[in-house]
Amino acid sequence: MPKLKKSGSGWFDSSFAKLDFHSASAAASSSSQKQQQQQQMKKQLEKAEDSGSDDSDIVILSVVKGPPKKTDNQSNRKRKLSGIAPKTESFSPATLPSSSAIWQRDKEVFDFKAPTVKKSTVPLLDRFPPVSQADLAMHPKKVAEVAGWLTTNSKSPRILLLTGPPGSGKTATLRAICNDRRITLVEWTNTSEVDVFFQRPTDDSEWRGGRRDDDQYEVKSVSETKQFAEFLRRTDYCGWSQSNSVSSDADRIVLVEELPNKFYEDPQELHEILRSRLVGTRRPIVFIVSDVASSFKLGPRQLFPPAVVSELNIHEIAFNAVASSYIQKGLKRAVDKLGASYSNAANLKTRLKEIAEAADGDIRSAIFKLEFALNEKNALGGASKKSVSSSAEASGVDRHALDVFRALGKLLYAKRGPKPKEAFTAAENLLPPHLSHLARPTPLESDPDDVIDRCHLSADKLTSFLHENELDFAPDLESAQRALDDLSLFDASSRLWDVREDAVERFGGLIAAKSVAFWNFRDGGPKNLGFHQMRKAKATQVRREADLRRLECLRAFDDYRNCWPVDSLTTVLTPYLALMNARVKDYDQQRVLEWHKFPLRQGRRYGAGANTSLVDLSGVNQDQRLSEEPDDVMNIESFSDSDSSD
Amino acid sequence: MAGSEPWVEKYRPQNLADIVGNEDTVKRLQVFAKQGNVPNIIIAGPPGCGKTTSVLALARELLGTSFKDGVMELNASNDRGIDVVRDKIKNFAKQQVTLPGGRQKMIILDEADSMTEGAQQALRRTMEVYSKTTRFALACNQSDKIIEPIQSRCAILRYSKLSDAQLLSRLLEVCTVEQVKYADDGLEAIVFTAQGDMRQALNNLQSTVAGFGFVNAENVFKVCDEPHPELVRDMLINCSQGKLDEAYKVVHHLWKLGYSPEDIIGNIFRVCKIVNLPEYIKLEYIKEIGLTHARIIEGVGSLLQLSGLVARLCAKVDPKRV
Repeated sequence: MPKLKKSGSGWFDSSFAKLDFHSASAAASSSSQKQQQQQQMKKQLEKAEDSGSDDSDIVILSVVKGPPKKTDNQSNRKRKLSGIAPKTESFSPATLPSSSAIWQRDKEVFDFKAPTVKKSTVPLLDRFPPVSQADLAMHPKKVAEVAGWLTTNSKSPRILLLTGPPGSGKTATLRAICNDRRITLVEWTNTSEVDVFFQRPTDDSEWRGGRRDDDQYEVKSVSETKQFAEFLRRTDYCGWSQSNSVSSDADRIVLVEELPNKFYEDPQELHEILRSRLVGTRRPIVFIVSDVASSFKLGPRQLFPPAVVSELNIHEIAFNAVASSYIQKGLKRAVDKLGASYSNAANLKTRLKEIAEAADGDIRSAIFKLEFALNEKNALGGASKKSVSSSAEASGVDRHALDVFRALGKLLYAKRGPKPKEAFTAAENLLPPHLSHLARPTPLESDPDDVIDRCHLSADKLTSFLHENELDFAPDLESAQRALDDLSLFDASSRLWDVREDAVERFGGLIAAKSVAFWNFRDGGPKNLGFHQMRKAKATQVRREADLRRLECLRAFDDYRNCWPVDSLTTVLTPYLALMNARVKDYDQQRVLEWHKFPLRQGRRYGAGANTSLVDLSGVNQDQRLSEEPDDVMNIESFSDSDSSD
Repeated sequence: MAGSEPWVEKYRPQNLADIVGNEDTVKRLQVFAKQGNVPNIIIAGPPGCGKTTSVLALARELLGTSFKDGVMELNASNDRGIDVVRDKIKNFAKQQVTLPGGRQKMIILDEADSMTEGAQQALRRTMEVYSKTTRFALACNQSDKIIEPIQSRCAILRYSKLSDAQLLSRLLEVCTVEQVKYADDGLEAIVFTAQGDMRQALNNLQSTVAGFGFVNAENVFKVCDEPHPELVRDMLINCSQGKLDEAYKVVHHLWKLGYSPEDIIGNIFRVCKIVNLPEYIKLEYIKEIGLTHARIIEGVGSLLQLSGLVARLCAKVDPKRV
């Protein structure tokens, strides 16, 4: 083994320059003392003694331990009572499976208008729900659309489907409108313990006798969907007007936000239930399903494929991410209700704007950010006035964490410090003469490694963001070429591998960041670059859409799965079928084929497709066509190329 | 000398104030601990940066002596399918527990990103329905592995990995209390091998103490079974001067010592990040190392690959190749 040169701290060049052993060890001994102290304190506290220490940690503990204020307790109890009571108020468990619960949030709202608001146990998110349309921080058009649907009176069963990204105000809008019009929402909730009732003999004859020995899980999964069907049935037929409520039968709407898990696996069962409901009922149902980009299974497209939407006459209203100006309106309302103090209106406005923009269209996340901003200055609990920090610091939850665009700015502008450190110059001097033009005069202001660590973007996203914006910043063609070359280096491999290796992903992000920061060097600094608006990465969105389409395609052509590999199915078979105007089985397939038709409409060469309808249902013999024009394989390949870049 | 209890547990901070690193976020948690009424939170961050510790400390400060009754902790080793979310979590959320005024029960879901989508979906409504009595704290490595509806319902706190200085100060504390004999280079070596992961740092420290009784660089690298970074650094510097023979000798030597190719390449990468080389060379080197790493992961972990790497690194500075 080659001999190690020294056994001191010499083998590190730079990383430990910052560390000061002596001061650190001093801190260590003092804090270990502190720890011992604290342990003693805790023991004392356990004996219910209030220690007279001025150590802040202990104070916290004693606050927790100390006798709670009476007022708090009482108001708690009140709330508890009012929270529990409504659940069983409106109907007896005998008439309905107890899995249903009537939503009573509007009642709670009145509770919380009481002055006890100061120390609420309700999270800020739920403390001031919009109770009327005027409170909504939403685009009025969307609100009107939902309101319009609720007003239309029709004899046929009506189903409304609200979709949109999380935090876009779907549920809040519906609730506020219903509250305004005194419409009661009857909400379905999944429960597990009801299964007990179902295993006992109940009024439902099918469950009587003989089935109690079944595997429990089976019983459960069957019973939950059954319960759901039962719930819908009863909401249709049972006279709720028997209960103490004054509202008439027509003023109730069924709300389904959560579905029995079985339906996500097998939506057809849900469709069957809804289909069976088509006849003879008028009770409107509202389904609220968030778009879940990361999982097709949980999204609205899986539960309600287009064919079903049209078949069951479902009216869909798609919500968009909330615009920043509306979020600001909502935040202002929360600030007013909280009675938070702020130095002046202009400051508050800019601050709220920052928060709203950082929330990226998700009003819930905006409220969380507001909550964190408020606490910042609110030194001790119980203080009545809260202050909104007016400093110009980032609106993110954490100052240490960089928001995406600031992180991108650090890399793309690639600012360098004013003075070269000795070690840095020494290193740059090591460049061989023929590479000396690549030396950089001063080190980067922020280390790319550090930026990556703090911006919390996955390597994939970081790369696509940098890719989107790099061309605005590259000083010359060669730099752009080198940087983009590096960006693409790991991009391909990190996505194609079946097993995604964290290690390789890390390389991708690091190389992308380092390369951009290196090549975007300008001699005079980035000053003359001016201000650039950062763009979001289109690549991610396109990719997401492509994934969605792929899944839809797979589902529509499920029969082909066994004989066609996935990729060929989506990029070879279906485009080909589209070209041939093949006979389709159902609406889903038709939709898939339509995607493929669109870009090729002008270049269509098949005589049979001369008519303008997108899908020719008259049908053509596929084999015949194949033999007639063998050279069309070329055509398909080029087509599939254009498809994959779509 | 080393007790039976792992130091990671023994020295896990009990209070938020003792937590090392991520000061801003921890400070805000402290405010919540005083006021109560914490929102549902997701803490995202790399391993060993104090996620679970913060959540536990927060719960302890919020609930005081009712900690045991008011907190349920589930981690990846617990079964966390849909049934668990529906039965266990819901039952706990429903339970009546006497708590200090204005406080809520807490359900801690560690490694939440390993929960199935279905379970997460089921969790979504549970979180809303019981928001008055129960708060959720989710810890995960990457917040984007959690489905969006849950992300939207939680305040997301992001933790960064700990800095070398933060690791070191904590190590020194432990060394003082445990009366560990150490050399400075030994602690440096531990910090180097831990890469910002406090858990690993403490584990390595304890193993070294248990194995050798004295913490110096050589012992640490023996315990961690890693090539000595000084060798690797020499190799990189040789490469940057185009000295292929010398550089190759190091790689060959490491290979003969029996280190796995993954360990060697991982070590080269880490050393390359901190070694004092020109920015351009570093960038090019990291690219090459990354590509070689990818090949090794694919299964071509041969000496030939490592030799190829060394050759390519040398070629980067070769004037004939411009």
